[in-house]
Amino acid sequence: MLDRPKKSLMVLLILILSFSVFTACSKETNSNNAGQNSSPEASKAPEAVTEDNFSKGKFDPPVTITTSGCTNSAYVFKNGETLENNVHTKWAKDRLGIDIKYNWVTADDQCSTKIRLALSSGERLPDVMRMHDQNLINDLIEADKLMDITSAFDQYASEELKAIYNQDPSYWYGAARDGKKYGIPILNFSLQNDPLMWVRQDWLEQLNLQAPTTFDELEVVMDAFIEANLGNVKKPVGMAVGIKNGYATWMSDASWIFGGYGVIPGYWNKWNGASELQYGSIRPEAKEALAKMNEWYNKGYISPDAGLSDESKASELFTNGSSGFIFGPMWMAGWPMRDVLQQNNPDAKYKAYPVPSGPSGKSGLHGSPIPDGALMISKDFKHIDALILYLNTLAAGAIAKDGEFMYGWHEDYDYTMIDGKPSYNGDDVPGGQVYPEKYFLMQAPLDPYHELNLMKKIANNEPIDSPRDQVTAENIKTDEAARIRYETDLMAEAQKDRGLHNLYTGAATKTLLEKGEALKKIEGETFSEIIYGKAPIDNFDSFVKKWSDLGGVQLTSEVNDWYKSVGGK
Amino acid sequence: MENQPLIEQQKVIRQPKTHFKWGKNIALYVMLIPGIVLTLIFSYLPMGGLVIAFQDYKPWLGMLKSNWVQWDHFAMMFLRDDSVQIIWNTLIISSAKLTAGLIIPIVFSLLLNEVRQLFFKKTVQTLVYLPHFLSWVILGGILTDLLSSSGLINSWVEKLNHGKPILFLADGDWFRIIVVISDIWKEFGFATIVFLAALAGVNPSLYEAAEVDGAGRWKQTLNITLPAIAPIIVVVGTLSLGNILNAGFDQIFNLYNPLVYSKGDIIDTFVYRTGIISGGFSFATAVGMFKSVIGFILIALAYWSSGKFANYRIF
Amino acid sequence: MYYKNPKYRIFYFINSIFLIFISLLCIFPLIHILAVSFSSGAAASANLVSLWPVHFTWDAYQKTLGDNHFLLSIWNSSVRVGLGVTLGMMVTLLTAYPLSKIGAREMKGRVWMTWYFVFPMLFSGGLIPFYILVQKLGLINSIWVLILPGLAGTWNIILLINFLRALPRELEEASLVDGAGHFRTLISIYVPLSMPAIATLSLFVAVGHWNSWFDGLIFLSDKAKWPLSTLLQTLIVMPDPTKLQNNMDPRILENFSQQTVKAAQIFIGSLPILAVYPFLQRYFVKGIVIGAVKE
Repeated sequence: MLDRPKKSLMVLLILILSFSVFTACSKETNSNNAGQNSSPEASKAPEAVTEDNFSKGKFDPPVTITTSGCTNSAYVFKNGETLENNVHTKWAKDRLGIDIKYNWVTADDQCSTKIRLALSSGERLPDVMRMHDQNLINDLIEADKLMDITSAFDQYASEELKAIYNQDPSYWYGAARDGKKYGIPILNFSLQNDPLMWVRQDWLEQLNLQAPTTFDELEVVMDAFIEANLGNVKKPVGMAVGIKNGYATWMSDASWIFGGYGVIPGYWNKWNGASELQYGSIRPEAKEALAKMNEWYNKGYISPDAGLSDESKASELFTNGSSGFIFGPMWMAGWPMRDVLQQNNPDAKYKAYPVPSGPSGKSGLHGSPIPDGALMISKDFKHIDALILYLNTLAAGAIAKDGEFMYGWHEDYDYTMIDGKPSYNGDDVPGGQVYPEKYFLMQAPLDPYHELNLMKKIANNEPIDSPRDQVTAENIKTDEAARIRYETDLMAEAQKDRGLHNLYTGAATKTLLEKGEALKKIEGETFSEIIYGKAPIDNFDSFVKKWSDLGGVQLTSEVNDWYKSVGGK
Repeated sequence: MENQPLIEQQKVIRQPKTHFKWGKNIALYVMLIPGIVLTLIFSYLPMGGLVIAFQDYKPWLGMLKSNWVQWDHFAMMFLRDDSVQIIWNTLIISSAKLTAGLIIPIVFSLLLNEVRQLFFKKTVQTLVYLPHFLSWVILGGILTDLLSSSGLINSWVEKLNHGKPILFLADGDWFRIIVVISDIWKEFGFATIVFLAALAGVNPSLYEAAEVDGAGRWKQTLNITLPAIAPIIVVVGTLSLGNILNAGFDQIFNLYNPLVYSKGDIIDTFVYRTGIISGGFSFATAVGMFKSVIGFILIALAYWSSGKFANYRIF
Repeated sequence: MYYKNPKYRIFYFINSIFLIFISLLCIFPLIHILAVSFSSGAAASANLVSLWPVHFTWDAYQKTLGDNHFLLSIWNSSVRVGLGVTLGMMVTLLTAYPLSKIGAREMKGRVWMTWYFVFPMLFSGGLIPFYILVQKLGLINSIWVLILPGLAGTWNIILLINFLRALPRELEEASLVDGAGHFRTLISIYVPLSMPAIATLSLFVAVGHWNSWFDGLIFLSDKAKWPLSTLLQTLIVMPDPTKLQNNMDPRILENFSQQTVKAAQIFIGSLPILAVYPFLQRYFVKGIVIGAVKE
């Protein structure tokens, strides 16, 4: 019996060794395999010719750009098209001489795994990869698998593209390292995910109430809503809040409660004039906010299910009429407000307001960052000029006064022409509306402030150049959701100074990698238990101590070191 | 032989194996070749990858060049304040699931076996096997609704509990109970199939003989049916021991929240959360290895002790 | 007979009621899911559906069935199940038969060989080395990557060993003495006798193949090769709404809520495999096989 484990250990060792040898031996064959992925034309085309092609605006013979497909439920097709072969890939080939090829297609949530596996097996990576996983981007940079495109970007990028990306050096933090750019950042709209206060406007009107601007007023209105129970539900609730996925989130956000005290849990910032970056969750302001949330929980403003609810689950409280308040981004005007709330209850009216201010006298909310992932460029990519030509064309097209993209991306996909005028109404588009942006290598580079500036222009009755924007302006007059979107944009703009940002956007530090999970766990536990009244509020102090002892102090200094290294003030 | 319970047939009276002749029995070895080769290639070769449990594995460096960190990942697993709690939670939940998940399908298959109307029997059999096909993402949503403060269950509970709902999924003790019950609910029908197949193999003449002896149905069940399916029960039970540290990631991940960490956080959910932050494959491999070793020891113990004390070979 | 006993009759009655109750308990959630799948997305998103559809619509089914790769994926799944079950049961039978012999015909090293198959049930190298292996073998993007690794499933082998052992050994002796070889004995004596076990294990293998989606996502780069479960899986992955730029028109979020599609997916994805079960049930009829042989 005794020698059995020894024997199996020996067997295991032999197998491990044989496997390593096996791996090592086949490394050579592998690089050959990888070569097959790129098309023959692509590798033959000499450098000099391609540069010429760039200025001509079309590659002849065509070049291939390989990428990876990450599909989700938003990927819809029409006319029997596929990800590999559709209106956009045809356009890229005919117009620019660019052949878009997919090395692989997988589900959105497995994309990082797939790239890590390809990296492990030494497979050739796709030429360009859309990524939102900062750890993976860092890994690829460290692995020396990416191309330094700094000079290529300077050489080829159009003025429009440069204007967008030179707005703010922080756009490049994620995709660059030591001043070298390894990818094209993907940019959100400014303020895109900043929370606003959404209210059932029809309830306010029925009860003759004003929208609250402070926590105290909010309590009064919530009391009135619960009392009146206009949704006619079994259990009315003050507001639709879900904290299962954290406090600073998109829909059913709770960050503004903390923001009312001047801090955002989970974010790093110089809170209330502190001299260095600090973790928001351990500040005394957070304790006050938790005490408030506990009070609101006891009063029935926060649902007993809030701790188990994610964003969608919590939003049900608003859409089914249990609650008259929900906090979330401006784009909620379309979904779930119009598409869910009004679909079920055509009489329901909704409106967004700035978030109410707390006892500090100021309101606060979690600010949403503009850069969000990047299109990373593989080291083996041969046609960076083609890629930038592609991006130049899209960037110009998105704001063009005339030309192929003046009304939209592709006729009868995202828009259709009726009597010489563009319509963006899904019901008008023959065969159904489909957004071709999904088929792009990355979404068209657009000025992050474009939408807000447009709305301001509309508000000031300034002239609008591009036909697309003119249609938006038209829609605001006729379409309710578009009008509310316009109002909310201005609302978000009005409260933009109240956004509290997470200034730590770098790679995970050593302590974070080792202790991050443990730190987060005690935070989640303590916060939930205080809100639910399962633990006294003073448990917060022992949490802060435990957090610091567990590695929080070390983490704070690492984060500040990082912050100084990128030149933060 | 006829009247002996079948389990007796399987007992190996230690006898000299002089009867074994090579000759045509070589065929027995030939038969094993496909299985052995496939297992070697697809199971044993990749096991070389277990070395990354002792490395700080970087995909681009590979297993040969990544840094060795010895037992660091294991230390990370065991030297936490909550290590004991997490392992204990896992053990409690999984052992409750293993026990109930063995007994309930057996009882159910015995009850179903009594049914003589074939149509009724088949219908029940098909219906109870349906929940196996639901994913925990869907079921998690349904359970959360059912058990929420305004859900169906609480509308009954409130009548008994002075109008106060019970927050089943926000309370650690209730959470464990819900997890075990819902898992049994989902899987018992599917698990029943194997016992039904075993019951189909019981020799009817045994019952006829018992009938002649005047044994009632209860006696027949005890003396004939149960012993006949005992080998299958033992082997299913033994193999499930290998899962002693798998308390069901999908299920718990879809149901848990910070309020029930203290009673519901299990090894796999903890590894998952760590992976989100550090993205490391090494840590997950190290923890997986630990779970495998424990599972292996238990199965080996069960095999060895049944051979030693009951002179019975499980497989 | 025992079932004429009045006490047993009472038991029988209670038992039947109990079984009906349990069956109802098992299908209630399914009725709810069915109702959701036929409801409008808005009603499902607001959680207004209980056991009857709200604003009846086929949309969720149309969306799923309308995918260009839908029919292809059903074919892929069928090929996968067909190959997986046929080859899998062959390997399982071939492996379990020799390992089931104990006593006089026990082969040398049997215990070790059994453990050789049990060990991988517990220990696995994980995804990375497996992916590297698959890549070196050139199986990426080949249907065989879904089939070959699972052919020698430990659980099935061990279970079959036990089923085979329960068969009366006299039959085997008779066959072997008659001059038949082991292969012949396996095919003509053991296979017919162990049909309940083979049916059961085939069902397990088929269900396993039909339901698994992850391997398709990782190893098959080409969407046209995906099995149904993999395709369905991608149809319900929620996009991250905070990353949807260019959502100038709020309608872009329309496809966001997937509750109804998720619900429809269960029925579209599971129905074919559910339909297999009743056909296999005839092999479970009590004692029929052995009884017949014993005559």
